[in-house]
Amino acid sequence: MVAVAVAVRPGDFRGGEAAPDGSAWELFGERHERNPRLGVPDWAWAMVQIWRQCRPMPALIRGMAAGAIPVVGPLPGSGGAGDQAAVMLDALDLMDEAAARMRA
Amino acid sequence: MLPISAKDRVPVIPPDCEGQDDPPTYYVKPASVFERAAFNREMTLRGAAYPSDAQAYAVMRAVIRESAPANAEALLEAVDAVEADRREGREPDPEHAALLAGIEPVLAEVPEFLAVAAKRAHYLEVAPLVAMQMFCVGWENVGARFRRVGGRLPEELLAEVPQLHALAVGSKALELLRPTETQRKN
Repeated sequence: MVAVAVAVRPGDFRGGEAAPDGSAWELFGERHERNPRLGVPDWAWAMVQIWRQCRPMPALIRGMAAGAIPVVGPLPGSGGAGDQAAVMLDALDLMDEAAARMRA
Repeated sequence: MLPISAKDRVPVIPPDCEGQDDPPTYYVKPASVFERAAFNREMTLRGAAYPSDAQAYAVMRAVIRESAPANAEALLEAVDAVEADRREGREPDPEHAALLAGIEPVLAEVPEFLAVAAKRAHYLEVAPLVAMQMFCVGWENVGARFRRVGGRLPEELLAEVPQLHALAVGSKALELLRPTETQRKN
């Protein structure tokens, strides 16, 4: 979830270990004194790449026909929905949830 | 990194064989959504359910109310605080933890609390074995010849696997069922 937060709002996590104004980062109910971007392991960045490819953001239309156009991305693994690892599908759902919370 | 496909094979070398030349290596597959449902069904059929922390704390509260010790109010407060800390993944306050540790001998005499503990123990013992039966898809350098019957390891073959190995392999298969707390946070 931290990796998704950084991917969705990278500007909030630029810079070094400490927040420039001496404050901290509040993420999903947890307080981080150290920049949480620096603690994200490599595998989590790889997961974010997969998530971005498999769960693209819905397109937004403005004006009189305002609304969202739902988009469907590819499945992470080969085969159909029944061939996917349940743990990976859970992870993609979690990342969707984290992104929605960051954008809210 | 999590496995992407339910067709992946994740190698597991039991801890007692690490560093050996040609150690016994077991392969587990991550469950698909349907296979995970089948695993849950199997566990229910075997009467193996893991009572939640909320259930355990509810029994603890009932015992405290019923036995009504002089410090009942402090104990109930400690139960609330420890439950909240555990739920949020925090280390409980040592004072609260010590209070609850003090009533453990009393809890150990209460059938309802023992039933919760027994159900947990049963689940923890059965789950890795069922997971190994369902999700182990091969092995190397193991004495017995690998085979699956009806989509799972037959019980007589499972009995030939050293217990420590079955536990390590089954635990890995369980780990691949859903994201761990650390994976969720990252």
